[in-house]
Parts: sequence; structure tokens; C-alpha cells
Amino acid sequence: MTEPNQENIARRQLLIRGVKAAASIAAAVGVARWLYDPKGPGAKEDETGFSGTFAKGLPDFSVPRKDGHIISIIQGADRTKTVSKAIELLGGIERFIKPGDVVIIKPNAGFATPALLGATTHPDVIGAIVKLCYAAKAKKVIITDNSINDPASCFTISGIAEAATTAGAEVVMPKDSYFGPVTLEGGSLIKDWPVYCAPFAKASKLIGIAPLKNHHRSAASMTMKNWYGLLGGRRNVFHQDINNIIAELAMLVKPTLVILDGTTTMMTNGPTGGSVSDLKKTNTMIASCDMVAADAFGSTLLNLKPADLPYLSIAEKAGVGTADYESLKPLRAEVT
Amino acid sequence: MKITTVRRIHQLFFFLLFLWFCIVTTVGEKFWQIRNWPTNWILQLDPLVALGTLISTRKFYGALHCGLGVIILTIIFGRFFCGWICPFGAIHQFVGWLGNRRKKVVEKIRLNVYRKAQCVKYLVLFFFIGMAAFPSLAGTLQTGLLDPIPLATRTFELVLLPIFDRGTYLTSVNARYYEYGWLIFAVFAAAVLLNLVIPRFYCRFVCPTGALLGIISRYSIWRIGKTKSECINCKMCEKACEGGCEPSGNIKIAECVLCFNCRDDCKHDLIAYQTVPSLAGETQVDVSRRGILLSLTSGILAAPAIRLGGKVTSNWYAGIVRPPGALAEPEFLKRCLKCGQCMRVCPTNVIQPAGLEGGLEGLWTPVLNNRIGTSGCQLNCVACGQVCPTSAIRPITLDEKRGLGEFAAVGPVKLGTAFVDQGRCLPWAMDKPCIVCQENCPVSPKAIFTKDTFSTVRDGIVLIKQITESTIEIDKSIPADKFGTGDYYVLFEDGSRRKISSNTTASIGISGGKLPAVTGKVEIQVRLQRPVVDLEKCIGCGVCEHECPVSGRRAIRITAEGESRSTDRRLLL
Amino acid sequence: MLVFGAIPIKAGYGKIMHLISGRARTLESAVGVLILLIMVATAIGVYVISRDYNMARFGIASHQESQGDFTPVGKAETYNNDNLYEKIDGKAPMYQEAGFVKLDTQRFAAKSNSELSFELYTYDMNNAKNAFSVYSRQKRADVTDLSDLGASAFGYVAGNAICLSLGRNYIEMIGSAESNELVDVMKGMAKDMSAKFEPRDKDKIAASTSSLQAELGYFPEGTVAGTWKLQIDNAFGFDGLTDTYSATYKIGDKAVSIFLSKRKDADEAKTVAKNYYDFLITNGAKAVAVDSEILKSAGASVVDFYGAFEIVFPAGVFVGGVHEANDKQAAEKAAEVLIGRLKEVND
Repeated sequence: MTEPNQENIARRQLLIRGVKAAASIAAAVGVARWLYDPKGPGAKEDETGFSGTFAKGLPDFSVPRKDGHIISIIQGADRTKTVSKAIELLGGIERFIKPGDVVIIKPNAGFATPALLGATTHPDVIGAIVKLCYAAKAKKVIITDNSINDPASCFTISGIAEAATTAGAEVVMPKDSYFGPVTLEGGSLIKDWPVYCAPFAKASKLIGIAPLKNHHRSAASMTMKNWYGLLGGRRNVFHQDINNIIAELAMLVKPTLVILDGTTTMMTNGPTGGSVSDLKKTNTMIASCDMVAADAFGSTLLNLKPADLPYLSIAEKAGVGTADYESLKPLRAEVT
Repeated sequence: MKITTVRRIHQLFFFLLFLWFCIVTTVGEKFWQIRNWPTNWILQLDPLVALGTLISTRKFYGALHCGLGVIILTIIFGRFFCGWICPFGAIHQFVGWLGNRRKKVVEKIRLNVYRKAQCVKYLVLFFFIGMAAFPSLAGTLQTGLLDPIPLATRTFELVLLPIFDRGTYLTSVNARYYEYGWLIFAVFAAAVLLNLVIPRFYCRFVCPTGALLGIISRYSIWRIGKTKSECINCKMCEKACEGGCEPSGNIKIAECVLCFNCRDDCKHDLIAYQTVPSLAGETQVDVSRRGILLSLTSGILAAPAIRLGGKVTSNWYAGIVRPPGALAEPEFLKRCLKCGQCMRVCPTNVIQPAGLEGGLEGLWTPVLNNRIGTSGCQLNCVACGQVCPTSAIRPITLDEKRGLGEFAAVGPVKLGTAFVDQGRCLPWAMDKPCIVCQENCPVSPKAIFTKDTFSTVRDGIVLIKQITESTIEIDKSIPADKFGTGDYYVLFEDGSRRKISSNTTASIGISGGKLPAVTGKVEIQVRLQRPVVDLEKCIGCGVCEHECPVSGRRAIRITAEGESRSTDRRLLL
Repeated sequence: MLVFGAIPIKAGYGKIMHLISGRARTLESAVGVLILLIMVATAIGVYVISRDYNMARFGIASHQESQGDFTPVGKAETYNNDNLYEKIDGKAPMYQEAGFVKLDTQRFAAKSNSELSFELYTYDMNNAKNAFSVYSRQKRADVTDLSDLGASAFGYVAGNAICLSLGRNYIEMIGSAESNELVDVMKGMAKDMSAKFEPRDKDKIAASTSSLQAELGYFPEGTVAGTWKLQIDNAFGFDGLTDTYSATYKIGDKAVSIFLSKRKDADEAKTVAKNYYDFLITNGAKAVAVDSEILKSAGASVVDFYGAFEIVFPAGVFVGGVHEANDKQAAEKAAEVLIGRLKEVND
């Protein structure tokens, strides 16, 4: 046996074995992929709700602009009365809700705290708005929020769930499948980020209702900050750039109407508060088609100036609204 | 640096890592407690865990992808897992060396010769595969009985560490108890002691994981072999051969565990890790096709055979109460490795290795024994599911366990149901007040409520001799100071009842207002709160059973009826 | 053809053997080192994974006992640095900047009336100073201080809520209503907590709280008890002022905010005082004449900062001063008292 011959045989054997080894690996990986079960056996889940088909992003819910009827500011302690009056002054609920509309209400239900503490949207406002919507022959009213705390307890403890269901609205809890990646055109932060979309895709009108609060990070949490609740994923990363994210959210969401409830204002220790000592009776209710104007006015109730809130000017520059709310000729009234 | 030195360091490292993972599998956030130590990693590396569950469930569970990595590396490099990673293998190697180190070289060479019986491990493997592969529901995963990683994990976690802890309490707060620990230890000890007969006895003759790796190393690119067909035949290469794979002659390549000792010991540098087969020839898996077929068939037939008792179906044993998140029994048995992770991590020690009560295949699977440990299954704990490597116990969240949040509609996980044994329960059977079970029920609202009744005590009907404002003189002698506990009352003939505040042998003191001047007889009664279980609320956590003062055979016991993991064992519609 | 460890077959067995096998031994060492490196990387990887943990995964939370009629309802939750925002959202950075470790929460409801409930927040702040810092900075106005808590604790009732600084923990109990019954229950819980707080770390807690007590003791008589605030860093917007205590001092009917910060030594105190003065001037403050002789001799500076008076001086190892006073005379008077007191402390 000569040497080259032996080497040839060795080489051929190696080649054959190499091919077989590669085939075995391919087979192993193939079988593993074919039978791959990343999550393991799952819990029994009910497959109802909005999962499956939903459009990416959020539709435009706004109604045509009517100069002189953009923002209303009502004084009074009774939320049911002040919020009804505020909407009446803007042209009545019929201006916003048409028969057959599916209305989504986005409260601030971020915390599992009682209504007393003012960290969440007050149930009275929810009840009043739901009733108004049904009076305008809305087909369905949905209340939903991607809460910070456990959503079920947030809705229950804040009293929002009860107020909503009593008035005939449906409370929808967020699920992972309701989120879809969204990119804001011209934005720098909301890029392919999971946003709470699914329930909105089937709605025709959107009303944001926010309490008026001090906020440790952004100084004030009002109607624009309320859209933070639409962000999914590890949204706290945005706290690093809180002003821009609030402004971008305001660019992303085009609501029919926003309500800012300044009946009591959380002056200190926001956004959670905790003590009634953090609250001040300011007896003001704002309804507005312009979020920037609403928040600019709201800042004055917190003893701030609109200039103290950088997100207002960012949003104004982006064309979301007007920070100089007096120029919009707010409609004012007082109800007792 | 010699490759054999590197190997020993590597083995020691993986053994210590394995030991560390066993130690830290205990709830807590100190660095020596579970926090996020990947305590399952070595189990997940085990290719037989991946393949076994794949065959039994027809699914490749994502958490086991490391096992696939080991399989791929084995296809390229050979059976490195056995010689470099396996902590059980490291123990065998060490004990084998210790027991035989003083023997003469000739004797050592003789100990390490290749034996035909090494093919037994392939038969073991195919038998287990057959059992797992049985079509329809009867497949059962039994590899864990002999798979070295679950075997070693089980032994260290359930036997060796608790024994060590008995005196020191270094790795757990309380003494840990494990039923059938002796049997687990016996298997381990036998496997270890056999090294004194033949080094790495377990690896060579028994280990199904080694067999699996031997088979898949068939086409490995690199392999140990001689670089010349002829040599002086000194056989020094077999002096320390770990696999018993005959490197001196026709090497049995599937037996080689890549210890590299042969290469080290060859004085003539005639052995190499190379891409060509040994020049002295090599043999692949040395087992007959008939043997494989026979063991595979035996396995396939054994699976339904051990189910003949109906232990998984109609004749299921009610004492098999599985941990929260456990899959329905047939699915559970397709995944459980009997590794003992859940039993070690359980903070109350309530999870125990089962005996044979749930059938042969249920041996060492986790069951709850509320008599052992510090309490039943804790309401706010889901640790067992978090450490289960194969998801036989699913990693459920607290929300799912408690039926909160999005699981509100499904309700809480029920492990079983508490049954009051009215023949043993003190208030039911002995007229003794006791509501320990009701008080300890952690469910809100409580799943145990009480039915209040009054029962006349033995010889408790007495005649009034004289009655004053607050005492009754009676005609009979009663035990002194027995009835003033607040649980005893007197019942007058008119049906009114007053609480006894004190008593002597001849009088009964009553507090709380003036007594009416009545005559006739009174009955001394005890007020009993008899526990009743609310079937809808009970989650079977076993806290009541654990606390029941009837300490031998408890008067309230959990059995698996009503468990939420299976639909055929429920009590409610 | 690849060969590892011995001669290739095509070479003859003979004189070149040593050469070849010598090369192979180098290769062997290299492979050995590579394997050991992978091993070390594995060890590091395992360790890194172990550090990123969230005990909530196991559902384990510290056991909470019932308080009177109130029993724990819902699950106990634990938050760490990664998910604190899920509980308190925008307020998380304030805690995190002050050394936050973890937060445990549990809701309690009355058995007799489920509407009546409170939620217990236990913030582990790593040490007593950090806990006191978040406690003092969030302290509400118009509150009732809790006095019967034991020496190492601070606490107050604010309407529906009770807040405590207890050892390394900052604790909030937030009631669902303004109810006396609720406040009494929460007070009871606060008392029990301070009575049996972490006996395991007793010595440590005692040491850290006693240093806190000692530092609060640096304030002169006339300081309004309970108005202390501790800024761990960045006091009054100046990042050089760390561990700075401030409190309200009463002169007649005028209230002045005084502050002090203990430094390493007198030199550092001088530097920090100077730097703070420079910081004020850079930001638009105007130096004004010092009237008080005591202040002059202490080297104090007085500035007018947009209508409010700021005073800063070094006093031995301390930096002291007055913050945002409306009345210059009262401010200087308060500064004099503080200088006197700090002199005593230094001696």
C-alpha cells in the first residue's frame, strides 16, 4: 500500500463521515425546530377579545375644529355637573358622538388606589361621560387602560370599573396580544414600540379623561401624560426623556376630546400621592379639543407656568395645539 | 499544559457548579439562595432529558435547547459530556481512581478491558425510549430513574445535603425530611461502590445518557485512535482508560469518553485525537440489532403493562396530590424526571418523592405530604414551577395560582380538596371544641366554615338543688374546674341557655346576669363548632391538614379529588 | 489532514517525531487554555445571570400578619429597581436616586367592611439615612407627628395616611378613606412594627439610627421638631452639597429654613461653603453686606437670590447656612444661633 493511496482513503472516509455528521446535526436541529415548543404547556386561556386582527397604529378620532369652541373651563365642585356643562359649552355631546359610534374612554387607571387619593380618574366623571355617550346613541362604550399596577385591581379599587359597568360601559383589560409595534412618523422615541392598539382599532371615537396631578418626573401629569398608558413593553425607559415622550404621544394620539379634572388637584408627591394632604380643592373641570391648551391651563392650577413644562412647547411646535390657551377664547362658566 | 489536567479541572469545575446549584435551590435572595441561579442548567444540558421529553411529548421544550447544543457538539467531537461535564461521571472517576490506585499496572489494565456486557446500557436506553414512545396516552418518561444528572441531583438535594444539614443548618433553615430518601441513596451508593469492582462501572454498563451519546458520536469528525496499526502492544494506554474502550487494539469508539489518558500514557506517541479512524481499526456501537429491537419492544410493551393497574385512570390513588401547576397526570408523567428540584426548593418541605402508591411509574415523582414539613403549600409561593426543568410543573405566576387578574375567570389552582374525617375530628367525634383547621385556612373567604351545635356532655343531666343569683347547686358530682372554659353552657328546661363561668364538684357558676329561680334539671352542654369544607373555596393547600391536632392520622386530609389540573377528578360540575 | 497530538501518518515514524510532537504539545496547551477560558466564561456567565433576579417570580413575599379586624387581601408584591415604576411610575427615580433596594406592598381590608382598606408600602432603602431622606423630603404639611414609636423611628399621620422612617425602611400606609378607625389600626401597626422591627439587624439599625439622631441633634434649640429634611445629594440644586439636613427655625413668629452638612474636615467644609457661594453667584445671586459681627467673624456670606436671602458659612467640620429667607434680619439672627450651636458641637 503506497502512502498517497492510504491518504486518499483517509480523506474519503473523513469526507463521508463529515457529510454524515453534518446530516445528523441537520436532522437533530430540524427535528428540534419542527417540534419546537418555546413556551411549554400553557394555561387554559379563553380566546375572546380583540386578539388576531387589528390595524397597526391608531386611527384619527378627532372631529372638525370649530373656532371659539375649543376649550371650556367650568368652576364647581360637582363633577357630574361640571363635566356636563363643559361639554355642553363646546357644542354638546352630539358634536362629538354620533349615533352608532363605538367610544373608547381612556381614563388614568394607573394605580390601584381609591378615588379619594386623586391618583386616578374619578369614577363620577367616567359615569357622567358614559351616560352622555349613550344619550347620544353610541353603540358601545369601552373603558380601558394599560395600567401601571395590576389592571384588574386598578379598575376595581379606583371605582372606575363599577362606575363604568353601572352606566353600561364595558371594561376591557389589556392583554399582550392587544399590543402592536408602532412607529411615529417624525418621532425619535416611538419607533417600532409596542403600543396598546387592538381595542382602538374597532372604535370610532376616543375620549381621554385625566386627573390633574403633580408628577415627580415631568412636574405635571395631565391629559397628554395620560396617553403614557398606551405604551407597552418596558416603557419606563422613556422616563429618561419624559418631555419628548409626552409630546410624541400627543402627536401619536388624536382624540375626539379630552377632559382634565381639576376638581381636586394633587399638589405634591405625585403621581401616586397617597395622602389627602397632597390634594387641594381647585374645583375646576376642563373639556378641550386641544390637549396642549388644556394642559397649559391645568399647569396654572399646580401653581406652575406653561413655560415650566417643556413638553407643552415641544408639542406646540409639532402642531398638536396651542399653549396660549387664552388666545382660543375659553368658554367659562360656573355651576353649583 | 496537559489536556488531561485541563479535563480534571473542567470536571472539578462542573462538579462544584453542580453542587452549588444543588445548594442554592432554596428559596431566598441571599447569594447562596435561588435568586436567579440557573439551577436547572446542568439538567438542561443533559441530552437524554431533551430527547426523552421530545419522544414522550412529541415536542421540543424550548428551555432544553442546551441539550441540543450538547448533541451537536457530540456529533462533532464525540462523547465529551461523559468525560468532561457529567458530575456523576466525575464522582465515578474519582472513586474508581481512589479504590484502584494501589493496584498493579497489569491489574489496572485488566480492569479497563472492554467487556461485551457494556452493551447493556444501550438496552437500558432503548427500553426507556420504548416506554416514552408508546403511542397514545400511555407513554411514560422513566429515564430519570437512571439518567445520571437527575439521579445525582435527586441524591444530593434530597439525601446528601439534608444529612449534611442535620448538624449544621448551613443550606436550609429547618431540618429537611424526604420520604424514601433511603431508597434514593441506596441506588446512588450502589452505583458509586461498583467503581471498586470496575472503575466507572455505571458509565460503562448502565448509563442511558452515555449510551445515547455513544450512538450519536458515530460520525464524529475527531476521534481517539492509533496512528499506526502495529505497536509493541504494551497496553499501557489501557492502564487508565475511563471508558473501557480498548484503545490498544480495535477501539470501541462509542465507549470512549474522551479522557485522553491513553494518549498521555502511550510512551511512543502512537495515540492521537485525529480525523482518521484508528489505524488498528475501530468498532461502532457494539450491540446487536436484535438486542435493540428486543429492548425497544419490551419498553413499548412495558408502558401499557405498568398502566394495567389503572393507576393513572380509573384506579387513581387519591393521595397523589401534585404541586401547584403540575400538568394533568398523563402529561405530567411524560415530563417528570424525578430530579427533586421542586422538592428541594419548596420552602415548607411539603413536596415529597412518592413511593409506589401512584403506580410503579410514579416512583420519586413529587407529591404533597402535609404531615411533613413546616406547613402546607403556601398561598403566595410558586417556586416549584419555576425550577422544574421540563415544565412537568408549569412555571405559573402567583396570579394564576390564586386566580387573580386575568385568571379571575378560571379561578385558583386547586391541588385537591380537604375532607373532614368525622370519625376522628374532635368536635365531630369527641364533643371537644377545636377549630384549628378553620382558623388556619388561608383562603379568603375561608374555605372551612363551622356548624355550631350544642351537645350535652357525658353524665351532663343534673338536678338543681338550689339556685342563687349566679350559682347552681347540683345533686351530682361533676369534675371540678372543667366547665369554666367558656365553651360550656347549661340548658334549662325552658330551653334557655347560659354560659358557665366556673364550677366546683357540686356547683356551677354562671356569669352575665341574674339567674331565674327555676327548679328541675339542667343539662351541661358543650358548644361545638364543627368544621365543614366549602367545596368551591377549598384549594387543597393542606395547611389545615398540617395543623390538625389529631397528629397521627389527621382528622382533615387533602386528597386529589377536585384538583384543577385534570377534568376527570373534579367534584363540582 | 488534521492531527492533534501525534505525528501525521504520512510522515515517517523516526527522526522528525520529536519535532512534530513538540509542535503538537504547543497546540495541546493552546486548546487547553481555550477550554479553560470557555470554562471561566461559563462561571462568569452563571454569576452574572444569578445577579439579575426578581423574587416575585417565585411569588415569595414577606409574610404579613393581620392587624385587628384587618387581614391581608390580594397578593403581596415585591418590586425591585427594574420594575419599581410599575408600582409608583414617575416617582421611582426619586427613590432610586436615594439608594432604593426593594419595595414590598400588601393591601389590608377590614373583615367587617371590605370598603375600608389600606395598603402597606415598605421601601427598603438600604440604610436609615436613605430612608429618612425620602421620608423627610415627602413629608406633608399640616400633619400630626407620631411620638410613641420608639427612639429609632420617625412617623406622622396625614389625613388618611401614615408615613414612617423605620431603620432602613421607609413605610407608607395609605388608607382608602379618612376614617379614625382606619388611622387607629394603621397607628397600631406602626407601633407594632417599630416594636419588633428586624431584630436580626438590631445592632446595625441602632448604629445607623443613632448617627441620624446625633446629626439631627446638631440643630440648635428653637428648631421646629419634625421639620427636618435630609438631602442625600444635590441639596438646593447644588451637587456639592451632600448629606445636607435642613429644618425650620423659629425666631419669634418668623420661620427661617436653616441647614447644615457635616464634611470630612474643616478644610473641606471651607471649600464646600466657598463652592456653594460661587454656585449661587453664578446663578444670579448678588452679594450683600453682612450686618452681624458674629457672621462677619465666622466668614459667612449673605446673598440676595431673586428676593430671598441665602447665607452660607463654614463652621469647623460643618457647612451651615440659611435657605430662602424672606427677612434678612431674621436670617442673620438664625445664622448666628446656628454658628453658636455648631461651635459647641465642634468643641
